[in-house]
Amino acid sequence: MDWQQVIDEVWPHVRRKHLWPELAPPQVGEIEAPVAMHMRDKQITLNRATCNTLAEHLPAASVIEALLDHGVSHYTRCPWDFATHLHLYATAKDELRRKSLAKLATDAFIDVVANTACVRDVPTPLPDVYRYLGGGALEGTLTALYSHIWGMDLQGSGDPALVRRLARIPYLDRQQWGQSLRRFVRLVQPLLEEEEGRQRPPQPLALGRHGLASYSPEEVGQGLQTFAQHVPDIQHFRETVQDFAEDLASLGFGRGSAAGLGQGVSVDADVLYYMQLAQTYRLPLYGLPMERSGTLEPYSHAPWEASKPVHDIDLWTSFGRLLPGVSQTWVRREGSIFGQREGTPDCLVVLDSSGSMRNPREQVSFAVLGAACAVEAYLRRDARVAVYNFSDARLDGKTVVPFGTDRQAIYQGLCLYHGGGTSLRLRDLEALRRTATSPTPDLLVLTDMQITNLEEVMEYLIGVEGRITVVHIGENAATEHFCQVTQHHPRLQVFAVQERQDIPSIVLGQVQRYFRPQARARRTGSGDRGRSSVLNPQCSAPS
Amino acid sequence: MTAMRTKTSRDKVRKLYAFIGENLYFSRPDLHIQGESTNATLLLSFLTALTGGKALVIGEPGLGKTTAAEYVCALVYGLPLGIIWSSAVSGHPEQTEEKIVGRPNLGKLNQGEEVVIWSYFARLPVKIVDEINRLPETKQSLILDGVERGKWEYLNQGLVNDEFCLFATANYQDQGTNTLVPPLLDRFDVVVESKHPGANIAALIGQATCRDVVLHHRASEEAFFEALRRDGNGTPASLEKAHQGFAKVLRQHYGLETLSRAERQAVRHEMAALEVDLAANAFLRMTLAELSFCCKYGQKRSNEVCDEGCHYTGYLCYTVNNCASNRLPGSIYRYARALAWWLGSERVEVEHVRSILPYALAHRTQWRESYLLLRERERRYEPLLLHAARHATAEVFRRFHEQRHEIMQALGAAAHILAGEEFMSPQGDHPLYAEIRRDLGLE
Amino acid sequence: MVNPFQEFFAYTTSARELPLDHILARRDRVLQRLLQSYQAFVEEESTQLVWVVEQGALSRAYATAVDALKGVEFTVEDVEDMCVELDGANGIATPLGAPSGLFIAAMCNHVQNRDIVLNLRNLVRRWPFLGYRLPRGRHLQLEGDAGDFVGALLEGGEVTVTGNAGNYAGIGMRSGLLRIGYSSGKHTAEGMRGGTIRVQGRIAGMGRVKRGTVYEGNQRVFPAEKEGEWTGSR
Repeated sequence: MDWQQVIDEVWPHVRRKHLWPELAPPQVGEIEAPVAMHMRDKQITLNRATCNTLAEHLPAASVIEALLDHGVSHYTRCPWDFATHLHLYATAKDELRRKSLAKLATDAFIDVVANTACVRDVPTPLPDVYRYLGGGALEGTLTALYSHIWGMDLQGSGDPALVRRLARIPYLDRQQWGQSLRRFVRLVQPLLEEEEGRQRPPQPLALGRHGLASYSPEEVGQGLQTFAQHVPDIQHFRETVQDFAEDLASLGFGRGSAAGLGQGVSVDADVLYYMQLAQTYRLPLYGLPMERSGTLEPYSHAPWEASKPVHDIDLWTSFGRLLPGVSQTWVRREGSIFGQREGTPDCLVVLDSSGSMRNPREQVSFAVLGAACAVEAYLRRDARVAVYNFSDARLDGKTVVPFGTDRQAIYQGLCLYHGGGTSLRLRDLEALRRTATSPTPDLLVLTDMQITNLEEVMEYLIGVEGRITVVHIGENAATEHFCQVTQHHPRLQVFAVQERQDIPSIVLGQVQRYFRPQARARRTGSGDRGRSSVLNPQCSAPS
Repeated sequence: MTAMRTKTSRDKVRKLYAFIGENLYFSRPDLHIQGESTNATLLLSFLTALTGGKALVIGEPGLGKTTAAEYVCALVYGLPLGIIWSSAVSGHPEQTEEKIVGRPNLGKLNQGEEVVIWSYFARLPVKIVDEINRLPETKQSLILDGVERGKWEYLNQGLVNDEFCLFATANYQDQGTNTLVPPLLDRFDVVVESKHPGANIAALIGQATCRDVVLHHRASEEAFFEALRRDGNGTPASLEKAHQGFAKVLRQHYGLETLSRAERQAVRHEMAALEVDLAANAFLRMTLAELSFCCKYGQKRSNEVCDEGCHYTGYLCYTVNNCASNRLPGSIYRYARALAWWLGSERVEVEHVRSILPYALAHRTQWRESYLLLRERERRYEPLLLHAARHATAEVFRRFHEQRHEIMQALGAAAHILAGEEFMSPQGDHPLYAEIRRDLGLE
Repeated sequence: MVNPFQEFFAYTTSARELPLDHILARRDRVLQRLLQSYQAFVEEESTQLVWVVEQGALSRAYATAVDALKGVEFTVEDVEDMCVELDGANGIATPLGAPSGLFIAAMCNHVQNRDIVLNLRNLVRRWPFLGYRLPRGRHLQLEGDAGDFVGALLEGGEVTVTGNAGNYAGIGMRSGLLRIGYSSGKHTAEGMRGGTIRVQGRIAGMGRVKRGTVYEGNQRVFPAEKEGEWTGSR
């Protein structure tokens, strides 16, 4: 049987049914796992063996149409994107506490949603496939469930009481997917445990498993970002992401420093968390200044009025006449030129990770998150970043990452927690600062100001060249003292961060402004101005 | 008979498209629709020329922004390249109304008579403005207002264009350019990027010599110039002979059939007659609702920012700052119909609307920084704002896909309610439901 | 005025109506009615200034609950969903402790199914009075830990608690069987007049039993075992 030909005939009809999903034409191939299909980066591949088996009971076109309907429904309805998939998986894992069972339960739920949506919305032979699909106890129960909720006899085998309960879940209500999945998982848990109790790894569902491979690296990145934004805490993120560590590592996400030799590249989920979360913030960074040239240039015409001077009259457009309303005069405007190009200087991030600061691997650390956002702002503009992570630097409680653009190394430096006393070794700091390629690198200091040698630090900062942004976490007597002492410094700006919402109000590299009283920053969205010009893709200065 | 005529016109146009694609404008296909792969710039240029739309073509210098428009207009309107070049307005600060629209006949002016000599730009149906963002804002406004109304005025005299299309090109912003302000951008139907065709095709372009000679027929151009000089008003009849001459040249040399004026009008009628599928209609309404609705302020406004934690945070109304204008649905319908006609569809379907929407939306929408930030780092093959518009289209489409039956039922119920029947008022989460309730006077 | 929806006037949906839609619609309807009944019950009970655990008050409250449920057709799955709904913090229902337990007990006693399983493991609240006056022929299985007064005034039914039970388990039961998988609290079998209580684990404290049989593990603790008498569990 030439399955590819059947696919080519059936595919346009399937596409039309599902309102033309943006998927490549499917293929048929050999798949090792006992599944009917897989989807990799928007490419559906059907398992030839499964097609042959089903063709013993159903017409070839129906087999292909059913399988494609299933695959396309996953793409168009559930899970739709990796963020949704992660969210569902995290919910299942929360209930089941076991990775393999959570994956299987998530796959089953996703299948029910996608199949039911498909059966409801479009005419499809998909139900017929389930009559002949076979499978274990879970499959049998799901088939019985389909019989019940679709209103057709598919000869499934499942406990009627269980099926009745499963049938009461609102699968098609996206808003309730989290709750629905919990109910679903609680109900099917005995089946999953029974499968596990037979001491064999749970088999994937017959129509395919749903993993990271179904998504492109961009979708995975986007999903991680969305997940990081919505997850309640970093531990939650870590627990979920660690289960996909292998797949993520192969895509190049968050490789741990302990790569070692050979296999087993680890994923540092905490670093990944801050990395993804920082992507969703945009801190304004003052860069290239525009200067006025001081010269006036002709810009446009305006009708000449009798009271206006005659020396700007454009004779050609005035038809050789000096007549009010007819003659045209030039309107001039001042030209703009670029000043001496400074670009975006390098940035030295000085991060306090003493005992009074939060451990970024246990709770969300605003200092680390703020630093990460700033790092992203500088790296986007091709500047280099160094990290000086300190606790009691005099007792070697410090970590130095030299100037560079290696995002992973920088984030590793930020996420380290020393947890000891707090003192800054200014000699080291100055030595590191001097290794920057730009003559006056920016300085970003994140601390709660409970530094033993705070006076020394203040003196140093006042004397150093370059722009300084200080972010203090929380309010205390030391922060007030610092603000008071530095309030008139022309190149030093202080920002307070007490909540996550305060982070977007940090402005990097802001100079020539006097210190303003640090009210708690509000998210007003006033910095969130829209870009109206399709022709102006980059703004380096905030509006 | 009508169907036959439609097929013939479409075949002609497709032949012209194929000719340009194979001989003149080399590019990569980047728009895939209903199994066909086309180049978006070329296709949208054709649709603009056929429908009399207004397209903004952007891109890096030297990537064929103006060229595509020139070739398309030359073949669709039967004008030699030399004529098109002469009529194009180039953007620089010293452009004047006299150079763009027309000037007084100086001889007659000396005798006290005000007679206007209209520029080729104003007279000819093809209007190309090169680097429009180098024009001062007043001149941009002048051109766009004129094209909007199809009427040019100078010294209290007017010139009406029966048919016209506008192509404006623009480079990305640099120190020599002005911003195209939103009211002006809104007048463009679509925006499209003329992309780099890739190293291999670029090498091919570099090797090809004198591609222009195909459409650059001296004798025909002379005929046109003569006709234009003779008749200062440039009424269509006076150019008809020149058109026929050039069409004969193209037929003889390249086997190409251009479209006559009557044929172009017929094509426009055919496009306008295409029915819009209910699903496409509903999809567009959903999109418009998301781009204009605000539960707190009644509608979106650029000077009013949405609160955090609004119920509609998951919809586009949260990610945009401005309100969709009423020109947007007009542009979408115009081009979706054109696209459906191009593809030989019997009606305008969801896919046609979905394909056109990003191009109609990109230049009109002011996105929130946070939304752009998310899109900025994604892999893409087009400028950020087009990519953002495409992503937004996909988001709305997903929602539409999920709830299309409910949405269309709600619209049906609303129709019955307004007709005076007893129907339950539609309820749902999407902003369109709130809009329906407002239209029914329930909110 | 122009009708902007005219194009959709003749629209009929092509989507299928699945049994799932009916199941969910029915579920929502019944749940809504149950919640209304519960609300009526709570309002009625809240007119009593002090809610006391006293037989007269219990009987009255139970009768009110039964009354509130009249005319509502519900299944055992509806009972389960109602438990989840009452357990949640939101919604119109105010999940008061004792009245909620009585209401659930009334539902269990009047649902069509004779065998009822309530999964308490996933619920936060430990309602008292589950299994209150369960009649003969009904079997109520409570998976997880139960609250106080489980199986109170049992009337011949069987209540099985797979986890622990609170205080006053089996209080005043007349007949029937109360099985507790682990331990029970103080005053177990207080005022018991018949039936059997089997506690697999420990009984924290026995109440004043009048009649009936109480087992702690394999040992019969009421009436107390005579020397040499074997009272192994059947």
